[in-house]
Amino acid sequence: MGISIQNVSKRFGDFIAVDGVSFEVQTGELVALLGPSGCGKSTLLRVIAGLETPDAGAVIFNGVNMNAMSARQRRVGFVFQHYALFKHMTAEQNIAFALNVQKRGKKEIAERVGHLIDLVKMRGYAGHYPSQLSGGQRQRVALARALAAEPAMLLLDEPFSALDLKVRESLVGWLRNMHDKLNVTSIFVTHDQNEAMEISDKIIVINKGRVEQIGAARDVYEEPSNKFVASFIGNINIIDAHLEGEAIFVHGTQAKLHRPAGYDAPSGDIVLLVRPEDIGLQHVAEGPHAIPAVVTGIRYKGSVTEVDLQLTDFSLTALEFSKYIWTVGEKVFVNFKKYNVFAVGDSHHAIRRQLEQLGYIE
Amino acid sequence: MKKGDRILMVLVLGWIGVLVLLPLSGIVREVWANGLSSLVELLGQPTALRAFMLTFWLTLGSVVVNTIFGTMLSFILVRHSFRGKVFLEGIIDLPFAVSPVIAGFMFIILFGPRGWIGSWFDAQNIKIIYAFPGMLLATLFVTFPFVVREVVPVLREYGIDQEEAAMTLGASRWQTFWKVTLPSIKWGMIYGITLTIARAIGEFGAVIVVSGGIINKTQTATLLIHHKFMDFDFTGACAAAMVLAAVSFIILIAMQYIFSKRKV
Amino acid sequence: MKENKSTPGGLVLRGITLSYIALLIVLPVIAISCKAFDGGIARLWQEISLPQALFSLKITLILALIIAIVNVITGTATAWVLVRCDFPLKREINAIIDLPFAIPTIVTGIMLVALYGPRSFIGAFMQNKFNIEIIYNSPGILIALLFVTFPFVVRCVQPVLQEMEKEIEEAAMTLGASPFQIFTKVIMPTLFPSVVTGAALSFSRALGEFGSVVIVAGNIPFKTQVAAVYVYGEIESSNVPGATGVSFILLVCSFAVLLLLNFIQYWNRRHEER
Repeated sequence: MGISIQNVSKRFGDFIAVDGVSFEVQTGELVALLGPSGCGKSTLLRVIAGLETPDAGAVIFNGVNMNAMSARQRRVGFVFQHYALFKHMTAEQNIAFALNVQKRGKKEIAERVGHLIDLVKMRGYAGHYPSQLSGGQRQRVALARALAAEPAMLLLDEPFSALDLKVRESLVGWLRNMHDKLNVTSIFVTHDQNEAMEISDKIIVINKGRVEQIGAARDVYEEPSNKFVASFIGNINIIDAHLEGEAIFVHGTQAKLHRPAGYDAPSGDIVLLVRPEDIGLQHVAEGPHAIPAVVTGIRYKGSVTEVDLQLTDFSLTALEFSKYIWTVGEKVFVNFKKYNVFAVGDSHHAIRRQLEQLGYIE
Repeated sequence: MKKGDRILMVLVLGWIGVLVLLPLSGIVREVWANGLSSLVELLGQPTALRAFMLTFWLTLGSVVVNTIFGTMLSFILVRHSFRGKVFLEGIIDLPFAVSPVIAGFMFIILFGPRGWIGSWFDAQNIKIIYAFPGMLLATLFVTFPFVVREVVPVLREYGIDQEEAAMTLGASRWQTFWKVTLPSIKWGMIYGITLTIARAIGEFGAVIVVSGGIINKTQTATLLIHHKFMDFDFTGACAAAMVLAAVSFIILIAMQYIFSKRKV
Repeated sequence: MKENKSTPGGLVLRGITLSYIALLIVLPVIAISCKAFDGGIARLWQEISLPQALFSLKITLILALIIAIVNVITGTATAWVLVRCDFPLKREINAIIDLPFAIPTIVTGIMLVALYGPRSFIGAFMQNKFNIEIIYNSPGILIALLFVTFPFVVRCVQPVLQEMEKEIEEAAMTLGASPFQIFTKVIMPTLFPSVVTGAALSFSRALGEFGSVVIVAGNIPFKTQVAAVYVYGEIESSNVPGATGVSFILLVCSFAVLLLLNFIQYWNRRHEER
């Protein structure tokens, strides 16, 4: 079932939670709604489910406008952040709930429930109460319960946030497998970009109730359409620079970089956004535009080493994959293998402040 | 708000209005009808004043004794473990299950001149029942559960960490108790005391049985009301009832205020 | 849980406190139970088989049962309205619910006589128009009992309803349940233990109520004499066997209810482990 969200807005009193959001989801896609806490993604999900009514805009399933339909009528499977399992029912009874409500035959229910229990690998725990299950098990019961009624669409609200790291890691991949097996259109909400990038077909980045960018994981990571997306997804270094014609001058250095193809803005102050893994480190200068730097911090993380660098006017963090052992105080030369350029603009400082407050940048 | 909820709301508010609020109006009207003269007259009677004083002393006694024992019991229940603890927890609720008249009667049997314990006191010529001590015992019985029940959950939630911290910082057991433990269970205790006061003031059945209702000697405020009613002095009874109702109201307001403090 | 070393007293504490309880609570109950069997079981049976005694017990149990059932309905509805609806003076009305707990039972009796008595507006009206006597009759007792037991079910159900996550109902909704189905399959089962607790407490209280009933109902044998009033009458006439007999039966009933309550608490904890 294809979903079309058209210009949906929702406010709570003075607070605008969702502000004119539009996007499309193709049948069978697994889409992530990604954004920081409080950005309106959960509200948006609830609007799609029919648990909230939008103030403006339309939610369309397969060409049919759903605005007038209640949550009950929309045939949406919803998995809540804290599972919302019925505590007085066993896992089995929870899963059977939708079928009981529809008054299906006993045999049919037993068959379907059994099938789902095997699907989520809860055989042996079917008679347990939620209080007797672990977080990961409750999660799987919640999913099975939502799937029991064969919904046309699956909505998941931060399904992994309440779980331990290891459990989370295994369940994320499991969700993707489940999705591939059942091929049901799914939208899941998360603030964890790793989850979003790992399993989704498409990521919709949301901030302050608005869509920032829509694209596959690679697109969103490599070609962020604005500074927020660049800073929110993955780690980023932000460098002040000046664009003069075809050349970019990095403040405080002798570096001269090329204006990237496709960037059409006129000369002026700009910001360079460079991913840590796109910073190359050399022991000797290569060319007149090599940038000298001093190593100020080293964090060995097994497969990579994070290296803090101090340049004349600013600092950088680079990701090094070679097994070279760095020392603090060592002199090194820096070059940028890839970078994105943005105009400074009014929102620059506001975005920086927001990201600092969220703890995404120093 | 959904329509069904709205209808329900009207019905419920109506029920509360008729059941709870209306009776209040009856008594206010009765006293108002005679002006405040009945009230003034009541407060002028020495018997009435003594009745109120007796209620006061019984209430004070109950509060003091049951707060001390109630708090001690709370500690035992929350901090210690021993066989039969479940049994103990069940016993605490016992006074709730016993009719007040039966409660008073129990004490007559036990502490009366021929009772197991009373016979000893009788031999020493000490009057328990039909005297203040008996009334106090009966009041202690009916007010027993309140402080315990309110302190136990607060104590449980509060946990032992802060006390252990205090000990590592050098506080003695008593210091820890006074400076750390007691302040944290304070509001639970106060709420329990408020409930105790309300119950003690209002106690009737147990006290009328155990006291014999001897005017000026063993007549509490509630017994006074009863006596006046039986004597066909309805106006007097209403006046006295009004006083107690007013006190109850104040207690009710205090209860609401304290209850919200409890949930810190 | 080990004994906490920072609490002073330890064993002495335990000893004193337990003695207090033994003396004040346990012993009196044992004393009256033994006294009931003073003349043997035969004597006990004789006393409670007296028509007057039997009637008082019967009417008490029936009234208590009616009270419990009515309170289940009104109490649950009240808790629902208090938690789910918004209306002016909500905080004050919420406080009023506790009034029956705070007010002396005898004051309740006086209030009801003032309001519904033969000389009052309502009482006279009901008497003349419908020939219904409120005071000194069953309606009066019912009103008095309803008043004093009103808060029990409300206060038991209210916190449970408050704690109920909105998501549970939303989940049921997304799974296709109608509002009625949500109420019967999801909400009621969750509330059930607290409703039963409240009902049991109402029942127990109604069983032993004295102060308000003695004023409102008088003491008319075979008409308005509830068990507690009967016992009082027997005590006044120094008929100890009669008093102990009926007292014993009332105690047995109350303790049965108490056991039921404790059982519910225990059973409930099984489901709420984490």
